[in-house]
Amino acid sequence: MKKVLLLLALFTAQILSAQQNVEFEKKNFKDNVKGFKQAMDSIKEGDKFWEMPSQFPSEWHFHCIPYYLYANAFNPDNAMLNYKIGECYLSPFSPFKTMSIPYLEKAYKLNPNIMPDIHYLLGRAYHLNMEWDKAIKEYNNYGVTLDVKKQQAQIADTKKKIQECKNGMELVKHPTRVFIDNVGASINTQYREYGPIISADESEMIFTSRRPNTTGGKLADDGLYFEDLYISLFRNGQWLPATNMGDPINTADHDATAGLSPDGQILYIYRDENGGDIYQSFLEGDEWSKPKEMGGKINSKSHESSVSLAPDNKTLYLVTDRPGGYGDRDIYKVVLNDKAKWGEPENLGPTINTQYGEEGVDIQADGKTLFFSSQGHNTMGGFDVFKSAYDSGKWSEPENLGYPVNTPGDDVFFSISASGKHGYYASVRKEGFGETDIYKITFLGPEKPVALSNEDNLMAGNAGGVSDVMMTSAVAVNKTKMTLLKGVITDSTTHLPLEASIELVDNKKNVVIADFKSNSKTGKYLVSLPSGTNYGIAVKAENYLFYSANFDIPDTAVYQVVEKNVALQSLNVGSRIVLRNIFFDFDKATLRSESTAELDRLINLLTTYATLKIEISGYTDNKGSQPYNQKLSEARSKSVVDYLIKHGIQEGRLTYKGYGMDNPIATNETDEGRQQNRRTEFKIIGK
Amino acid sequence: MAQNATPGDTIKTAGNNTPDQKAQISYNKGIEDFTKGDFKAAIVDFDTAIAIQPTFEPAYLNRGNTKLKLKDYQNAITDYTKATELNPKDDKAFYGIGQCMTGLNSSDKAGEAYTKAIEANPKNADAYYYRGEIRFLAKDYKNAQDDFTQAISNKPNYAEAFNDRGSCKIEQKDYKGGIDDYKESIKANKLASTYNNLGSAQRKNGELDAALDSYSQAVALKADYYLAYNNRGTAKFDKGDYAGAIYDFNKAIEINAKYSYAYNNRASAEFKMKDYDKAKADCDKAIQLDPNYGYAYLNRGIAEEMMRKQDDACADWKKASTLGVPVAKDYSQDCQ
Repeated sequence: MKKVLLLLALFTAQILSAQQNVEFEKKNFKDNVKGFKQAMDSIKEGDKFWEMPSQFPSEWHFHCIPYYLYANAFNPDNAMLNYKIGECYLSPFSPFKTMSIPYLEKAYKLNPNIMPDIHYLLGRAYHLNMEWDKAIKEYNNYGVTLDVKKQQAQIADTKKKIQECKNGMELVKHPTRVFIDNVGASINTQYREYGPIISADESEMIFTSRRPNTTGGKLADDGLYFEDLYISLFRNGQWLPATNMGDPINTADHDATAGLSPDGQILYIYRDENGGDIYQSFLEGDEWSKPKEMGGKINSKSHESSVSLAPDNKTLYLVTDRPGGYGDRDIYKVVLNDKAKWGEPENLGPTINTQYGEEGVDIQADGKTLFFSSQGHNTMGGFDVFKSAYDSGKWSEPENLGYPVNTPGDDVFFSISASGKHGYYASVRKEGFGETDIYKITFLGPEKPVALSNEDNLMAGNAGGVSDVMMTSAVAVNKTKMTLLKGVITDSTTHLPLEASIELVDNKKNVVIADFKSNSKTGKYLVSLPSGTNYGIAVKAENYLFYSANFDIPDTAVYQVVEKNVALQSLNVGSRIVLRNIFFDFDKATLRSESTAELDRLINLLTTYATLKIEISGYTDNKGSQPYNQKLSEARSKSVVDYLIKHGIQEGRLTYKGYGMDNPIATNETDEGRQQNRRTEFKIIGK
Repeated sequence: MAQNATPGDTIKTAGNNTPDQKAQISYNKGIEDFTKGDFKAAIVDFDTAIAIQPTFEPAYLNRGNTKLKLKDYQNAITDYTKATELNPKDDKAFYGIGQCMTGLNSSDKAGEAYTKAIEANPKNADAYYYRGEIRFLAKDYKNAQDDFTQAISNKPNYAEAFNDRGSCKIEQKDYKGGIDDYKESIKANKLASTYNNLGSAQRKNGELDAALDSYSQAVALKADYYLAYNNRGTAKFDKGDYAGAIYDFNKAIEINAKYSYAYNNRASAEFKMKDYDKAKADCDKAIQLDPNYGYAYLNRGIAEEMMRKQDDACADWKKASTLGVPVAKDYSQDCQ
């Protein structure tokens, strides 16, 4: 019996000692003086970072971890050391925040009064680990320790964090159906990658990384390599190894991604100048121009961090913390004025902007759907990604993209593809290569219900049943209604790429929607066309006949990629083009108002090249009689000539001719072919 | 019509029946043979009766009935037609024509015949019942329901008519009315198929526990009732009991290994349990059994999407769309 009692006493003592705080004092480690000294040295090294003076006190704490862990292996039962390790794991630059949990729990167990904010840190750790109930409990425990009069800010912050946990509880109940994939070793490394920006057609990605081959090769104040921009191309189903974009994009200082124009021709770069400004660089051939501050009213002494250019090339969305916003940083809209300068930024208003921070703006290629991150709205913690659609003059209530796209950590700098099917952002995940990596999100849309088949309503007479298919509730399928038009512009004779200007016109409204250039070296262009519009597209280059195309995209058209290569003809006698955006009333020679933009282009060409003599030729399809078609085509070509004369073109330079159903350029057997054949042509007959 | 005996003649008795009597005797023998199931002998008997007495209308009717049993529809119709010529009020002959026309897959003509039977005798419950069936199969549920109601009013314990009227109501989304009729049918006669129907009506009406009970009654009455197992599996699926659903779909497959619906449904439950490989394999089997099974293609596509086989999923959704599955078109629109 005595033996049993002795064993019990020993066992109890062990439990007690396991939960007892063991101070780092020599007397406690008499049997391992050397080990004690090494542990103390390691703590001192860690403390150098812990006590590092900095704008943000905990900025350096992440670097303490290896030193403290070494000492903790020697003495795992010191409350303060456990507290510090937990705090360091939670510090802003730590990618492994939830690893703080066991250390904080132990610190609390060893000494419940270790530090006043122990409950807050436990709340943060559980919050980030999505242990909502535990987090709320700890936040509440922290809340009761606060002084109502003196600690208003902390009280407000704690209340917000509790609300975030409640938001998280709701959001995880209905996860968003996505695949989240690491984009792979061509892009991600053991260092930090973040801020991906994806071209509309997902053929290239530019991102920020902090890796040793940064320009200048130096470490920044936070102990990590300076930020540089990197680029990777997607070819044959895979990302090619990313390369440092080099001079002139990258400098020895911080250079980070801030945005990319929809056609991939303008790169926006964040630089740590003037409080943080946005610079722009143009793709000239295959070279990026030297980045220049954006000018206009874009930058201020405040911090500008992210921009997104709408597909009209005239509207820019900007994130800045300049005074006058709703709180912290906000999203603004900036419009290019008539003098091609960016005007006064206009705050998007309280539907989008909150008293907390908004960051990482990305307007989708439809020009209407805005993706951004916010610490407000119904975030589940830190920044969450939201989307809002502009319709009938207002922004819709921002919609949280949901879990697992969003997490309790910072989910920010999200970039959406033109198709709307894929998003890219940075995250820390188990399958990563280290620190933050870039991930691709594939949106699957609402769950597609499976269909079950049954036989019931059987008839008693002949036992013939009614075969019934039972569907669970049907879902609306998200559809991106847009056409991505891309191609290469070349000289029709030499086949060499051409830099040309591309004008996009809404034929019905007779307004130029966008005006941009093809790449000077590759001739490549890319434009996104939302469905539901009749587009006129004119491609122009000096000393070339313009090319005209018409895209009537019905509202029902879903996402598609159309490749259209254009060969421009030089201004020589005999050169001819089809004027695809000249429209007549049915069976008449009356020009419709949708033709104005095309006719004006024609006038412009004839004014610029004052010696050109041209023939306007009218053609029909083979429906109807030859004499009727002949007459109609002639009347129509005359209408065009009359319009030109009326607008100041000398009559002697113009002839017209109707060819009826002659010279078809396509089959008359199909609707599409007949449409091609009904046309107005323009031919140079003298120079 | 016995002949009058002449005075002085020896009156001959047995064996010397009058032609009418001979015809009647053959006719009665025909009915006896018919009852025994000797249809060929019955026809010979009725032939004899008709040969003796060519205007013997009941003999035509019953020869028609016998030929109907032998599925000799065309000749049966000839007999019935003759019967109606001899007696335009013979509702049974019109009814017989209706049965033959159904056998010949000529629903319209069958319907017309039942209508004539009803005109000849508005109390003919069966004529109403079978016309109701024709209307039901033509999806004319409202008029079918009226016919079943007439059948029931002529024959109050008409279990089949209650059952079928219940089905009419279900098709018209009157679940409560349908459930009540199925229950009335069961009161009159406990048919496994009616329990199955009741279960399905309850399932559609959201009464999942009651549905499970009804399907269980159906399989208790008919142990190899794979349809009811399949349906009970669906009720379990609706309750979120995917493992239980798989048990029932397994039973259905065990009884009828060629029942494509059960494979498709098992795939649905496996999908819900995130066992996409098995779901795909079951859809494969369903499609193998029925290459035009659009919903199996739809489901296989849904499983393939989760298996990251987007191209295969798109191909299956496109196929499902061509097979008339409406939602498949929406899914395949996102495919390149």
